[in-house]
Parts: sequence; structure tokens; C-alpha cells
Amino acid sequence: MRTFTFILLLTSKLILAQSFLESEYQIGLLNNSINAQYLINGSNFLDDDFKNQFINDLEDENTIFLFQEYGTKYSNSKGWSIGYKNNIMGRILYPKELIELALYGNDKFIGQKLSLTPLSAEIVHFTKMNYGLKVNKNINASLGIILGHQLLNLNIKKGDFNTEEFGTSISYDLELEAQFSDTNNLQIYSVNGIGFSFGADYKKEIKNGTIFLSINDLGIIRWNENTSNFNIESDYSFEGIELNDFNSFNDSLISNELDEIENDLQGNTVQNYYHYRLPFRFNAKLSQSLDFIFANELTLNTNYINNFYPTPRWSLQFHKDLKKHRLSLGYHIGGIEHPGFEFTYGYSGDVNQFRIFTRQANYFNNENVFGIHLGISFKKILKSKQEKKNEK
Amino acid sequence: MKNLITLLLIISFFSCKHDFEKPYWDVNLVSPIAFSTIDLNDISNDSISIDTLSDNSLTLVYQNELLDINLDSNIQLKAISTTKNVKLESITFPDQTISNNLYFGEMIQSTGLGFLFPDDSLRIIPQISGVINDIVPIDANEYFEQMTLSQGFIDITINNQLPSDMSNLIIHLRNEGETNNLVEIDLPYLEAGEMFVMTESISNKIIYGDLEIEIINADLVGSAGIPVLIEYEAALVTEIKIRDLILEQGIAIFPDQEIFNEDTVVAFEIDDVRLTKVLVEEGGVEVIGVSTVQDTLKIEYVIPGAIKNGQMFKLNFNLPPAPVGESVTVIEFFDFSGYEIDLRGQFGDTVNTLYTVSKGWIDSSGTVTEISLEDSIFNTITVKDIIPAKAWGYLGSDTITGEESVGFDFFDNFNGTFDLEQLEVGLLTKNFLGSSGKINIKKLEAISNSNAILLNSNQINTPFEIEAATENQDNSITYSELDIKFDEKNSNIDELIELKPNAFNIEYEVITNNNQNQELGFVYKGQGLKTELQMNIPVFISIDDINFNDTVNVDFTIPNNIEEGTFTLIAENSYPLSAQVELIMLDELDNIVDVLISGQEILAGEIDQNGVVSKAKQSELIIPFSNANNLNNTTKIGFEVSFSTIPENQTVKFYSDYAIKLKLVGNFNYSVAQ
Repeated sequence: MRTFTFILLLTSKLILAQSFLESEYQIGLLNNSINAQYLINGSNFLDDDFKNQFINDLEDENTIFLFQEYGTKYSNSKGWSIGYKNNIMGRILYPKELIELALYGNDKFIGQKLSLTPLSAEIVHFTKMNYGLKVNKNINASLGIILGHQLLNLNIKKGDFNTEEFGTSISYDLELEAQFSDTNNLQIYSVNGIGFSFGADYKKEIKNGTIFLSINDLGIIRWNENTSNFNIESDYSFEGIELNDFNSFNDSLISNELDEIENDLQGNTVQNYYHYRLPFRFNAKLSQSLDFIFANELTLNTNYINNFYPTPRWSLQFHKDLKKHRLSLGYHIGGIEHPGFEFTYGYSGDVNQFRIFTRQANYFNNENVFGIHLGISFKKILKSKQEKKNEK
Repeated sequence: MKNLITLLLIISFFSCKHDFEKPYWDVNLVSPIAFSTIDLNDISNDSISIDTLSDNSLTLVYQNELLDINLDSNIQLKAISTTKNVKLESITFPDQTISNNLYFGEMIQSTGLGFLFPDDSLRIIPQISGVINDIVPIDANEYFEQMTLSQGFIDITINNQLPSDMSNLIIHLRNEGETNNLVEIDLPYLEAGEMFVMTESISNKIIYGDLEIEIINADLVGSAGIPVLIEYEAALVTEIKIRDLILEQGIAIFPDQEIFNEDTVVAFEIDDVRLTKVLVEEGGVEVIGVSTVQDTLKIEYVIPGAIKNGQMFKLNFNLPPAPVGESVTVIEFFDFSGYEIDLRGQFGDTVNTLYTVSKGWIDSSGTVTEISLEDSIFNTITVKDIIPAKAWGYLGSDTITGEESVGFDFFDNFNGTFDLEQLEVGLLTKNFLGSSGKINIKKLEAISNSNAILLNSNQINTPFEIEAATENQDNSITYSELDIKFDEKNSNIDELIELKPNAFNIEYEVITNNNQNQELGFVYKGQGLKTELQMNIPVFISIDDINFNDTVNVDFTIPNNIEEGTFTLIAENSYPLSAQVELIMLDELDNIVDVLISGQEILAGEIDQNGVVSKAKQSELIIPFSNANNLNNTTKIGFEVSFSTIPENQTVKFYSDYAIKLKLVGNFNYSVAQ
């Protein structure tokens, strides 16, 4: 990737037009139900008060979202662009009952059937090599080649857990499906799949503002023939170990029982190509100038990542420009994370521009911190010799 | 502005930093651990069995062996040996013929007149006196070097093939260098073309391979003026034939010599037992051979009546050549295991007798060997202790008496009282012998610690006859049985059993083959007469606080994460029997570590008006533990179960569908991630 960035830099020097080179890095770990206060309080022994409060605050369906993105793009003044972007995205969805079972044990659920669904995890790592083109004054389109690196897609369709009266038996009914890319090739940038993507954006100036709409990552990855498609359908009940003679109780009886469970969970694995639909992203932004002391612009933003966000994420930001600096403070709801503040600082020089931002700016109160997120971007305006001369 | 950014970054970084320690928490886990169904059949073992009667009620059958008598020692074939000292009866040697030619050419040349009589010419031969005077060596070493003869003859043949008659022939044959002649010939005249034959005895003489013929005189008569063809190859041919030799000793290349070939009969002494056949389990034949023969002696030993896998017993071994003047000894052992041996002798008309055939010989080795009639072979055959796996024949008549004290463990773990109804005890004797007999139980006494009760019955001290067992074609035995029954009507057996004895004293007398007529009997090793006490107790009892106690070895390894919890024993009981349970944890030294259960009860099943359990009852016995270390230190669990039937003081029947279903469930407080 560094080589590719270097090539882009060289290319930009050669062209010497009023173009720009832009790099961005983001990393985040977000969730919708566990705040930082629980993590702080959750050291040492977790007593019943903690557990009760913790469970009480959980949603019925809980998500953890982790991602890392970095990329570089060269945009030419003539309207085309070229760049790459590396994405790692992961989403874990788990039910409240699973945490209850883990914190309390099954004694609390004697005589009850627990449904441990929805329980799923999707983690994908890919790199997109992108070419963009200005279609007209308002519309840009892009086409990308996708190099798929790793994929794990796990979905437990059915996960019933039952403890009979007096604990006389424990049973589970499990239906699981998973796909995972070639495990023989675990190099982080190994190519285990190839795909393509399509994207487009629309930008229009309106009175005292702009409207921006974009859709990206519409495409698929065809993971190679070593991709495992794995499924389990298992229905198991443990009644205890049958003893014909109490003197004959020994470790082998337990290991035999464990072997039986292991065999039951072997499942079926088929290795074949797997077509994975990329999680497409939709983004819409409305900006409007303001004439307040504390803010000179307002932005209403919504974005959505298919499969990863249960609902679209909405945010409202106020911006204040101070010469070349801009401070933005906003509040977001929806999406995969808990509602909260977000913050951006930007510097816009004539040639170099810089921006640092976070989607979690709630550090003033741990109970509102539902993850960490940090993004940094750099942008360098590439001017031609003539432009530089004119400026002088 | 740069300072602001730096400040923001520092605040962001440190605001995330907390002294975060690994969390841990307790969970309460419930899991079934083990389950089992126990019923009366579970107490079945080699001694105890449960029979189901037609009404599905149960009878407990307890067997305890009292006597095991066998006749193995009666049929053991003790070691017996036989030794043969065999000398050579004769040494055979074939006839030998040795030839010698005196050629005319050599004769005429020796006179100095050879130039007058060239070969292939026609000449008149004159009379020449003393034409031959010579000693001619005869080499017979390729046949023998020396022979001491007790009998023998030499045939000498002189064939005149010369062109002239011969006269005044004087010839002597003797061992080289000796003066004594073996043969002396004085022949006045021998015409050309004529043959002279003479036979001389050489009995009691020694002849050597180096012989010589001395021709003292031989005159050539001449051709009487007639020219004759002169042929130098024409000869006076002498042929010496040594024949009909009987040697006392010889150094020669001998032909095959049979040394001995004889039958041997070995009779075993086994009292009045008359065996016709045995199948050998252990034992064999040891052969010791001692030889002074300076050649390889071959011995073949055959027992025609010993058969294994369809092959008769046959052994071959070699005695190597003995050094000069010394002897050589070889010891060989041949295993008889698995052989079936006919003990009826060579003609099948006797008993306890092993018939053998042995043969020894010397193979012609093609080398010069010294053999003397003084040479001998000692041949010792020992039939080692033969332990038969099976034996057939008349087993003899024997009276075996004895008194034994036999342990009885049925009541070892019981305390309390019980009342038995319809008790029946049998003394079952099984006869595995192929002979009939008589059994007399002279005394039977139950012992419980210091208490003893003697069995009173008219069946005691009464001889009972037992038939012979029968042998099946598949070599199995169908034993015969004698069952002497004791019940409350014909004896005081109930008193003996209710004493809860831990031993029985028994005095007995067994007479085998009391009729002494079982010639076609048999006995298999280890199988004689067995008597066992067979106790039939219908499970139709009233029990009041019968205690059953025992210990079982356990090995608990409780994970560190488990600090406390309970075990729940869920019992679903369909027996009309309640049980008070006490469980105690014991360490290696039987010290009490903790009391797990005390005073908890497994409830009896519900009984209907017919005394039959209509509904099983479930009981939960809680076994708490608050110290995992106690469990880890426990090596034994001692339990005492006190049973009582319901309704109280009323006998109830136990049926085959009764059982107690047990399930052990663990309830643990488990510390996660500590």
C-alpha cells in the first residue's frame, strides 16, 4: 500500500495541475449498549448490583462495531480521480440473554428455554482500487476493483438452551452457518477474493448551502474456492453420564461424553467459491449557512452501511470557522452506536489541509461513552506552476 | 491553535486511561452429572443371582462353594525310565576283489632277451626257467586299513593269458612286511589260456590294506619250436577275492550298520487305577544317549500310540562320533503336551502301558572309521511326570474324607433383623467324574462370630449316591447332580441363615467308584466333585431398619474456580422400601472429613391395597459442600443405608419392574475468570 501511495505522489508531481491528494485514516470500536462507566466499574469482582444494572441497560439486541479504514486518493482538476482504500469492518450482534447466562449461570434459568439469538458476527477485510470520473457538474461516478483479504461471516440462526427442572438435563438446539476465507493463507494482505464495486455522488449548491448525496461500495467479492462454507444443525441433550456401576466412574466417561459433543458439533464443511455482497454505504448531507456567533454553518448528515447499521445514522453539526480553522460539534442518533456528541477540528491552509475528528466526543461523562473513534485526514492542494505564479 | 490540538490529544489519551483490572464474577451453574438405575439385579454377581417367578416376583439365589474335590493326584503318571545298553552284534563288510597283472613284456625284458622278442612279432619262445622272481605290493587301502576277522575267505584265481605254458609256480600272499603267509600256492603246471583257482580261510586272522604277493618261482615252458605272436600286454592275471567276512574290529569304510532295533514297554504304577488313554497337558520324554562309536549314530524313537494332530509321536536325534577311546553323551527332551496316548500296549490288551519302538544305526559316512564289537550305546528313556488334562479308564475306588471351614460373605454388610419366609437351602453337588460315587455330609454348622448352630436334619450323615457324569462328543462334560434340600420343614436351616453366618463348618465323606465297575470312566483335570450351598430366598420379606454399609473409593478433583455448591441426588423409587441415607467423606486414614448427608430419606413407592407399588416416589437429597478442599481430600465415601419395608411389620413382595432411578445433579457456585 505504501508503494501505491508513493506512485500516486509521483504521478501528482508530474501532472502539476490544480489537483489534490488526500489521505485519511479512521479507527473505531463502537457499541450500542455498554458504556465506559461499566468498563471502569467492571474491574475486580462483579457483584449482583452491577450485574443487575448492567443487564438492565442492555438492549434486547446488542451490537459491537469495529472498523479501520485508510486510503489515499488523487483527484485531478480535470475531474478524474484514482485511489485506494483499505477497509476492515466487523459487526457482532448478540442477545441480552447470552450475557445474562454468562453473568448469572444457568441456575437462574432452570425450567426456562433461553433463545440465544440473534447471534452473529461479520468481519470483512478488503482493499478497493478506485477510479473516479466526473460525469457532469454535479455527479461523480467511480468504479473499483476489490481485493478481498479475509472474511468471517457467522450466523447462528437458532440457539435454544434449556435447563430442565432440578437441572436434570441440559439441552441445546443449535443451527449455525458460517463462511470464512482461506485459512491456509493468513497473511494480512493476502488476496483470497476478487470483486468490483460501483459508486456515485451528487452534489448541488442550493441557496446558502449544499446538498450532497452518495452511494458507494455497491458490488461483490468472489471469495476463492478455498472458502469454507460451514453449517451445524445439532440437537443435544445432556442427562449426565450413565453409570452402571458407581465404582466404574472415571475420566474416560467424561471424555467420551465430550467426544460425543465434539462429534455433534463437527458440522458440515464445504469448500467452494463464495459470493459476498459488499456492505454498500449511503450518505446524504445538507449544509446550510448560519449567521450566529457560535456557528456559521449547520450540517444535517445521514449515513447507512448495509448489514452493519440496523438503522440509518443521523447527525446534526454546527460549524464555526475561525480564519483557517474550523470547529464542528454535533450530535448523532441511530446507526450502530449509542447517541452522543461528535467533534471535528479542521485546518484549511492554501496548500495543506488537515482534519481530526471523532464520532465519540462524550468524554465528559463516562456513562455516555459507548466506544472510541478517531479519524485523521490530510489534503494537499497540488497547483500548477502558472497558478503559483499568478498567486504571486 | 497548535497548543489547543496538543492539549486535546493529551486529554483524549489520558481520559481513556484507567487502572483497569481483570473482572471476575460468580455464576451459579446447574448440571446433571450422572444417572443410573438400580434394581435388585445389580447385586447379581458370581454368587448372587435374581430369578423372576411366574408372577414377576423375585427370588434371590445365593451360591457359595463349600467343597471342590478332584482326583488329579490319582491319575498323575509318575516318572519312569528304562535304560538299554546295546553292543554291536556284528559288523558287516562287503566282499572285496583285488587284481594284479604280470605282463609278458616285463617278464621277457627282465631276462635281458627282450631284443630277440620284439612286440607284435612271430617268434619261437624257448624254455626259460625262473622267468619271474619278485614281490608285488597289493594296495587294498581304499577298502579297509585293518580288519580283525572272526571269519573270512580268500579266493585266489591265476589266469595264464601268456603265449606260453607256465610251470613250477610258487606264490605266497601275506600282509606287507610279515613272514606269516595268508596263502601259499605251489602249482606244477599251468597251460596257456588256463585258469587256477584256490580258496584259503582267513578266519581269526588280521589283514591289512597293505598286502604283498611274493612269486618265488615261475618257469616259462616255451612254444615248442612253433613261432607264436609276441604280445607284451599279455599277462599272468592274479585275482584276490576276500569274502564272507565277519569282523571283530575294523578300520574301514563301512556300509550302513543297524545297531539296535527293539520294542520297549513302559508300565506306569498308579495304584488301582487302570488307564487306557490320557491326553497329556504337561510332561514329556527325556532321552539320554551315550555312545563309544566313532561314527554318527542315528536314533529313531517312536510311540505308535501317541497321537497329536493325527501324527504319531516320533523323534529322531543323532549321537555324534565319539572321540577315540572315549564316549559322547546327548540329552534330549521331547514335549508330550497335547498328545493323546494309548496306554493299552502294543496289542491293545493291557492298561497303564506305554509301548515304544526304538532303532539305532550308523549311516555309511564314506570315510574310514574304526568299529569294534566292543563298542556300545547306552540309551536311557525317561517318561517325565505326565500330568494328564484328561484320562480315561478305570479311575480306582477312593474314599475321601475331610472337614473344612468355608467363609460366607452374604451378610457381611448387614446389620439389623429380618424375617424370611419360604426359605430353601440346597447342598448341590455336581459330579464331573466319569464314575459314580457316594456323598455323605456328616456335619454342617453355621458360625457367626462366637455363635454356632448345627444343622439338624435326617439328611445329615446319610450317604447319597450320585451318578457318573457323561462325556459328550464335543469333549464337554454333562455333570450329574445331587441336590440335598433343606427347608423349615425338614431342618432348622432358617435358624442357621437368620444367624447371619460368616462361615460354615462342613464335614464330609466322598467315595468314588463305590461299585468298582466303571471301566469306561474318565476324569478331566481340575474337575471332580463340587458342592455348593444354594440359598433361595423369595423376596417376600419384612425389613425393619436393616443397615447396609460400605465404602467406595473416590477421586474428586474440584476445579479451583468452584468454591461451594450442592449436589442433589434425585431418587425416583418404586420399591416398597424407604431408605435413610448417611454419606460421610473419609480421608486416606478413614478420618471423617465431612458429613455429606445425614438423616435424609429416600421415600418408598406408594403401595396399593394389593401390596403392589402403584406409583414411584421422587425424593431429593441435598448434599451441600462449602469447602472444595474437603472434597479434594476425600478418598472414600462411606455410606450407610438403613432400609425398611412399608407397611411396617408386613411382608411385601418385590417385583421385577421395581427400580430406583438415581440422578446426581451438581449446583455449583463458579468463579469466572478469577
